[in-house]
Order: sequence, then structure tokens, then C-alpha cells
Amino acid sequence: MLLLIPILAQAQPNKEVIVKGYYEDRLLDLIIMELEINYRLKFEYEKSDIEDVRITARIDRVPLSSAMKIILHETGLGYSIDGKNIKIFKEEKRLYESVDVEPTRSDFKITGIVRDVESGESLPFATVFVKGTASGVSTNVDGYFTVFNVPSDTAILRIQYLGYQTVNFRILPDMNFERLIITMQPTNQQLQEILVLGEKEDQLIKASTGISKVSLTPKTISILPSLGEKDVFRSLQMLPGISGTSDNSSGLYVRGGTPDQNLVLFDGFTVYHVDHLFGFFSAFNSNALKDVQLYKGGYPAKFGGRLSSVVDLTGKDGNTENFNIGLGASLLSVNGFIESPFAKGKGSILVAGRRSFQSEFYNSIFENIVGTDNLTNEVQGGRPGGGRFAQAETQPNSYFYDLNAKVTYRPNKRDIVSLSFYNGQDDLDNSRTVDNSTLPAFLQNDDSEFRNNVIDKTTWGNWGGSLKWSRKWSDKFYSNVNGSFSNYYNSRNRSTDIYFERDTFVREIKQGTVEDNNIFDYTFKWDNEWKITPNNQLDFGVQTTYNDVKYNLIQNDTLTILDRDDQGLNAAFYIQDRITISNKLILQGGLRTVYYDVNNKVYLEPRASLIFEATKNIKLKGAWGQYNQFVTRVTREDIQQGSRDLWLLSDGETLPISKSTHYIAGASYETPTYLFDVEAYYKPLSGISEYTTRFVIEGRGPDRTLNYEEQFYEGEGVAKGLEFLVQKKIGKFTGWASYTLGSVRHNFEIYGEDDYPALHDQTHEAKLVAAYQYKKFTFAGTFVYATGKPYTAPTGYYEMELPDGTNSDFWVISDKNALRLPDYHRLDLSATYNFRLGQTKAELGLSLFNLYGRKNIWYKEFEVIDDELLETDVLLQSFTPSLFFTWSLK
Amino acid sequence: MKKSIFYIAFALVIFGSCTDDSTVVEIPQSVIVEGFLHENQSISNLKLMSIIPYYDSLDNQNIITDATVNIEVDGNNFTMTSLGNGYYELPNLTIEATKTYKISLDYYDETITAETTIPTPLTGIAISDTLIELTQVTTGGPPAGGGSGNFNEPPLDITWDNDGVSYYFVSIKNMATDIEWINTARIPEEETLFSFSSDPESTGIHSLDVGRRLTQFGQHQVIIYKVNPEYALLLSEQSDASFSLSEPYTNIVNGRGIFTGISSDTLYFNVEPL
Repeated sequence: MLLLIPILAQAQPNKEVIVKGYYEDRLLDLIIMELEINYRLKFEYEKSDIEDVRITARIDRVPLSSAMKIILHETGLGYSIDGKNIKIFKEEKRLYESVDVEPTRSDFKITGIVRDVESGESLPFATVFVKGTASGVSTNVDGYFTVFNVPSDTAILRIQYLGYQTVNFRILPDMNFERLIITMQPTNQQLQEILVLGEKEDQLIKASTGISKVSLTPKTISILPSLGEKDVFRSLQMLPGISGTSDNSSGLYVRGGTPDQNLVLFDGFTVYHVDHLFGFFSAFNSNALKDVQLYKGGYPAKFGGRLSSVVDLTGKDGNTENFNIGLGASLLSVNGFIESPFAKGKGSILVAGRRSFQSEFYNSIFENIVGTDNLTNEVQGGRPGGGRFAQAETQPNSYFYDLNAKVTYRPNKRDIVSLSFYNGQDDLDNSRTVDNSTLPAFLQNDDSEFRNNVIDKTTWGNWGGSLKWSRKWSDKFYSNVNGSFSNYYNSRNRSTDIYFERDTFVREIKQGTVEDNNIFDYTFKWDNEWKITPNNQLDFGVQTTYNDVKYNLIQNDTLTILDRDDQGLNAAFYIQDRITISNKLILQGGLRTVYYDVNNKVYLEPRASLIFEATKNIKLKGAWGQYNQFVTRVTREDIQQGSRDLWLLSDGETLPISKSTHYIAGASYETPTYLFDVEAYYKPLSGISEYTTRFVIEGRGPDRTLNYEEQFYEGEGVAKGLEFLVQKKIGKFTGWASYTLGSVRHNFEIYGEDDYPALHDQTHEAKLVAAYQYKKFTFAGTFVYATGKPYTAPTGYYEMELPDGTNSDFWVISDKNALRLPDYHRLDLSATYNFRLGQTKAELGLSLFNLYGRKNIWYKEFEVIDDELLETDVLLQSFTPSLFFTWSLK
Repeated sequence: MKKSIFYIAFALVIFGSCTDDSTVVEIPQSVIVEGFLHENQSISNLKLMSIIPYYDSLDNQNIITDATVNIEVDGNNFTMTSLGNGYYELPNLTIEATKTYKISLDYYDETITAETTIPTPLTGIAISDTLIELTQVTTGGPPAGGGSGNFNEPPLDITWDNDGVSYYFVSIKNMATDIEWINTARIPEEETLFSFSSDPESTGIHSLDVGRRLTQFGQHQVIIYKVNPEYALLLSEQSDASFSLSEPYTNIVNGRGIFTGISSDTLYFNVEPL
């Protein structure tokens, strides 16, 4: 392990005391007592700092300063020696103390790692900079950092990470600048009521580190109101530029993009489906997440394969210091995690799981999705036929679960090997059987057998795993190699098996459909960071993905309607260079080249960005980049049974390879307390597709036939918008107000020459997020106000008499998406109480979703009854209170 | 600062509220053709209509009586006669199987056209039983699944030759003059003679679930229709949700509705008390 024991060299006496001692798991206060008695030393310390600290050390006639270094090794404690007076303190308490030390070096570099003080978790993407200078860096995904051109070896490093107290760390000449360990304390540790000398980093999100980039941690975001479960993706929906009105989708609509245009990476593997319970919750358990990086656009060449945005999730490694266990429950699910170090802290393991249970609360949400709690206009009464899933006779069984596991091993100071695994699944079973025994007695007949099995099962989920090896070759060169596997599956069996037997007459009929979609992803990545000079960092690497996408639809047990099995390989090489000029201008240029073997073509994706620091507070920024997408999620709308999301591989012919270009410009004004940020984006899209499977006529004249087939409509679009963000970053009251003026218009030839608003187009969207801390309570509130989404409606009808003498009504439909739903708004509130149960930690929370019960409309359904148009508003979630409780050992 | 954040947010909300993107959508009128050309018959009831806007007066029948409608077959043109109630006829032209008929008319500043090929006559039609004897049910609650409650009856199979190209559906009607219910314990409030039509399918059989479908005694007429794919498409399921609404299929160019050929044949069976 790396060592961080600062020594005040100047404070040492001329003649040092020589110390000897053998300690085996001995309490530190006993060792201090022994040293005081044996060597007539005087120690000064706060009892709470050394409580329960145990030492195992062998000291064989070494000077006192060296002895203290050995004794306090890896305790998080520091010391100072003044003659025979010794002060012991927690590292962070000393950092702001003035030290009377002459600097011995200048213009040198520091390399180290940033960690959580309690769990030992490395902290990725923390910012480290030298106080009083403009030079700063970000830790990499493994928590490592290198700061160049440090002006003196008594400078103060300032380290910030969301959810942790900002550390002002004074370096001293005798520190090991090659392997500096900096530990940070979570802000919620304040329930211990310790003295905090560092500043608090209270902000919920960090939106000022780059262009269109936002960082957050599950730890900070968990205080926001939720719908029963802490949910990172739901929290992301409160950011400007991301739609906050999709109650029924955890997927992100980023700057006019759709959820499938968003690359979701978890420990390096791609997650293709992020929804639990039809989109009401995301598939990620916040207990297993450490860090979230969101790129809303203009993202660097390191990422590719999606048109809109990137969500890069880093899983927790597990506690390297202590065994820890935690449990939690909400009205919807139970969850738990267990983490432990092994191999003397070289390794750590974390297992986290979550499973829903069918509570009243769960059923109420389920019913809201599939049920009929909707408003009907024109005609009184509910929709005939009831809900889309609900059956009068049966209660559907439904549940979801997810499981995360991660093992991390650090064989030495340069290498880290980690194995991460994820599985999440949703199940819905609405099967039932009707047979002789279920018929009324007067209809039962011993001479015959009748059986009607209705199978209605839907299962969807993800498997994923990655094996990563990262190595810090030197202070300047870092690599990681990641091999991963990911599988998204979605299968539905909705069929009826009718069996009838009487005397010699037997009939068995099988009807219905069996549908199966599977996407397999095998990816290999090799990423490198090379800090060529202090102002020049080169990133380069290769990323290869092999996809196998299967989709089949079988009708009536035997008739295969669709059977696709597509394979494709895309191999990418990227290189990007980041140059800092005069600490004022950061330029980043990159190129990603992708070879796609399905159509045997090479795609070039140039990227560029700049940040110009006009003054200490004002930054101007811009980005441009080109992006291609080779796998596409298409939605097969199915109102009766829920829409089906299918991933398909583009072939460049029937299903186009979609392309977008991002143009982004913005400015920010930042003070220690506030951030004002504005960004404009313009994003033309081409090769976007709509998908339908329907019967079509083929051939002409008497040879015409009707075939069931897939159809892809190809189109283009433009998304543009302006985002404003005002954030209060620190203090008891934090939060932000944001406003987005946006437009997404599509143009598909099939719908006519004119552009039309896309289904997710929202002109205005305003959001408020606020959190207030009062003692051990945190109160939070969120408010969303947005223009209603577009929709299409019948505007007229005609009635025809069919050959069998019956009359039938047919609709005339408005222009596509020509109408707007009423405006959307919603207020959510939450309260969280942190407390201790003995020596363990606990948290109790209340969340009130849609506090004033706004009847926001999801979509409308139409039908004609007695020449009247019956319009039903299918509503989003109404007022929903929920409770949660979590407990952990540490 | 707290105040200023509030004011900004408030202004944004007010700004947002002031925008009303809802618009009344007006649709341009178009001609609706209801044209079923029965094989071996003349055209007696081709109908022309226009769209009935929702919320409009229901008294408005929106019929078109003044169009000049031309039918072309084998290079010959015929002009239909308007009957004044939206219907048009062409009594002197007998529709022949396998021939292609074209319709054209000018209306609403558009030239409306369509064409269809008449299916060949049905062959190989058969019915598995012409007499079905069922127990009259007089007591007990409504049986699960509806129908007469004679669930143990084997199905009635109506069969024909399937040419693999056409679509077929059957229409069954009770021809009795008085209604006699099989299940007298569940007589509906509004008593009408039994009728039922199946969906068009590319099949050579329709199995009638006697116990569940039939509700009345009497002589039943079965008409088997042979139709073109465009008719099957017209009746294919339409979405009723606003995010995926689309118009029904039409084979009319610059208009709506259907212009299609049909051939049919008729069978009978009796339903009597056991």
C-alpha cells in the first residue's frame, strides 16, 4: 500500500529519541501511554481520533520520527513533533494549519490516488488542483492522478468530489510524491459530529467540468424525491436538456435524441435496456454504483456508436478496509449489499441485489401502467374490455430483480484487475387455465374433456460482465484492457392451447404468437492515456464489438413470420489530443475511425472541442463532432400487450446506419457559490428509422398476395435548443433552476413533404431542484413544467357498408403529431433522516411523488361509439407517497 | 440570491404557460369510394361520400351525388348513373372473374382512380353438418365464455378450395322469422337475429365453435366470401393510441375507401332442439 505520513522535518529536535517496540494488534492509546512512560514524551490528541485504532508494528531502534511514521502507517492519522511534544491528528485536520516549513523543491510533479477514507474505494473523476494556480487535473477511472508543475513542495492541493468534503491538503517536502494517497470523507459523515476543517462539497451535480458534461454520484442524488426507489436515471432527467416528463421511461431523451441513441456503459460493458417495471425504474441499483458521467453531446472520440449521448457508470469496487453489510427496504422492493476486503486489502468484493415484491404499492404502479385509471371524455364510463394486461379472473404475477457483483484485486501498486457482473430481469406472467372443472356444474360433462390454456408470459432483462485490467505504466502512461459481454433478451409467449375431446373426436388448436429478441455484444477495448507533457495528453485505443442480433416471431406454434439473425462487427480506432495553452485555452481534437463489416465500409468521425477561460469566472466553450450508430432500437407499438422494443442491426440498406453531427456553443460564469451556464446545440440527424410490421400487398393483378413483413421508414431530423442552468453549489440550501427551449422535427417521406414535430418534442421545459439540510434531515423538492408532447388524433370519419351487410367506421387522421397534449407539470418532495443505530448507520426517507396529483397525460386512446368519438386520456402516475429505510454496518 | 432563483423560475413557468401549441386541425375534404364489385353481377350500389368531421352535425350524410364516375374494363369506358342518394349504378355491365376494372372520377379538384381484379368463383365448398341438434338450456347462470352452453358439441366445419392468393371470410345469419333462444336463461335485452362474420384469412376452412357461437334455433345461411388482399388490409387492426395512429388502408388514389372485387357462394344449416 502507498504511504502517506507527512513529517515536519523542521520541527525535529537536534538529538532525536530512539524508539524500540513490538506491537501486535495493540490499541493506539496503549502504545501512546507506553511511549509517554518509557521515553518521557508528551502526546497531544483528540480521543475520538484514535479511538479503536489498532496497530501492528515492529520498531527496532529507530528515531522517533521514523517510529511515528511506522506506527501511524495507514491509520489516516498524521503527527507533528516539537521536541518531546507530539501532536496526533486526523490528516484532514492538520491540512489547513499553518506550517513553518521551508519549501525544498519547485516545479515538480505529484502522482497519487484519491480514496474514500472509510471504504478505501478509489474515487474516479475527482478534481485535483494546486491552490492558487490554474492547473488542475481529474482522477482517472481508477482514482489515479498526476499533477504537473507543482510550484512548491509546501503547496496546498485542493481535491473535490461530489458527496465528499473538499480536502485542502498541504503537501510537505518529505512526502512520497510518487504514491500520494489522499483520503476523502463523505459529507454524510457529519452525523458523527466531527470537526470538519475541509469545506463541504454539497452540490448535487457537477456541471462545470467540461462541455455538455455532468457528473454525479448516487450518494448525493439519493436525497432527491423518487418513486419508491433511488434512481440515478430518474435524477438525470432533472438536468437541462434531458426530458423530465417521461414518467414511464427510465431511458433518457437527451437533446432531442431517443433512449436508444444514448450509450449506457456499466464498468465498460454496454447495457442495452435500462428499464424495470415498464420503465418506471431504471435497471441500476444505486448501492452498486460509484460514479456517473453524463455527456449530453459533443463527446470525445473515446466514445462512439450512438447518436446523442453517453452515460458512463462506474460500479463500486467494494470496501478495501472493512467488512460491511447493508440492507434496505421500500414499499416496492428489498435490497442488500455485502462488501469485504480480502488478501490483506489487496482485493475487495461487492455483491448487491434487489428484488421487488408485489405490495399494494407495486400493484398500484403496475395498474397505472397497464390499467384503466384514466379520464374518458365525451362518454361516461371506462374503456370497454378493461386494462391491457388485467384480466377479470386473474391477478398477473410480476416482479423484477437485479444483481451486481464485483471483485477487484490490486496485486501491486501499478495493476488493478476487476471482474464485474450484472443481471437484471423483469417477469410478467398472466397465464391461466380454463377446463371442465372451472365450468358451471350444469355444463360439465363426464364424456368429454375440455381444456383452454392461455399462456401469457413476458420476460426481459440484461446480462453483462466485464474483465478489466488496468496498469499505470508510469506517471505519464496509463492503460486499461477491458473484455466484456452483454446480452439483452426480451421474450413473450402469448398463446392459447385449446384441447377438446369427445368420444372419438379430438381437436387441439394452438393459437397466438411467440416472440423473441436477443442481442449479444462481445466487446474488446484497449484504452491508453499518455501525458506527453504537462499541457498535452494523448488518448488512443481500439474498441471492437461483435454483435449477434436475433429476432423471431412465430405464430400459431408453427408459422414463422419473422426470423432474423444478423451478425456484425465494428472495429474502431480512436486518437484524441488535449492541449492546454497558457492555462487559458483547452483544445481537444480527435478522430474515431470505424470499420463496419456488414457493409464493408469505413466511417470517419472527427471530433473537436475547446474551452477558453476568458476570466477567472467566465468560460467560453464549443464542440463539434460526427457520430454514427450501427445498432438501432425500434419500437413495435402494441397497445393491447404493451409496446415491444427490438434491437436490430443496421445493414445500410433496408435499415440505414444513422448519423448525426453535433454543434455546441456555450458559456459559463462560476463563482465559489453559484454557476450560471448556457449552452446552445444544433444536431442534424439522418438515417433515422421508424419500424412497423404489418401486412402488405405484393404483386399485381390476380397474383397479388398479402405478406407479413417488416418495414422501415427512413427519415431525417433536426434537434436544436438552448439550455440555461443556474446552480447554487454550496451551503445548506443547494440546487438548481434550469430552462430548455428545444425543438425536434422529423421528416419522413412516408408522412409527406413537410417536417413534423417528433413524439418527444417539447418546446419549453423548466425544472427546479432544491435541497435543504437541517441538522440530520435533508429536505428536497423537484418541480418540472413542460410543454405538452405532440400527438395525432382522428379529425373525422367515414362509414362504409361491408359486403356482409354490416357497417364499419373508418378514421381520418390529422397530420402527424399536429396536436399537443396539455402542458405537463409535477412537484415532488422528499425528506431524509440520517441517524445511528448503535455504531451502525441508518437512513429513513419519505418521498411524495406528484404532490398535487396533476393528471398528466401519457397518451390518448380513441374509439367510436354510436357515431361519437370517445377520447380517453391515459394518465401518468398520480400522487404517490413512498417510504424507504436503509441500514449499513459502516 | 434565493429570491432571484425563485423569480427566474417563476418567470420561466409563466413564459411556458403562455405558450399554447394546441391547434385546431382542419382536414381537406376527399372522396370516399365504397365499391364492391361482385362477380357475375352488375354494379348496383357503388357509393361516393366525403369525410364527416367529428363534432359536426350528424344529420349531414356527406354524400356525393353529382360526380361523373367512369368504369373502364378491357379498354372500354362506361359512365355510371347517379341514383341521387350517393349511390351509383351500372346495370348493363356484368362483372367477370379475372378481369381488371378501373374507376375514375374528378372531384374536389382531384382525379380519383382505383383498380381491382375480380376473383375467380369459389370451388369445393362443403359443410360438415347441415343439422345441428342442441340442448335447450333453461336454468342456471350465464355460462362462462358465452354462447348456448353446449360446449361439448364438435365444431361445424365449413370448407372450400383455398387458391393460396385470395382471402376468405364467412358470414352466418339466422334466417328464421321468429327468434327462439337456445339458452333461455340469458336472453339479451335487445333481441335480434343471430349474425356473425369472420375475419378475412388465407385459409380453406372455418370451424364454427357451435357451443360458444350459436345462440338461436333456426335455419342459418352461410355466405363464403372470396376477397382480394386489399379488402383484408382494409380490415386489419388499427391502433387506437394517439402516438401510433394511422389511417386505414385504401387502394383509392387521391381518395379514401375501397374498390375491390368479390366472389361468393352460399350454404345453409339448421339448428334444432334435441
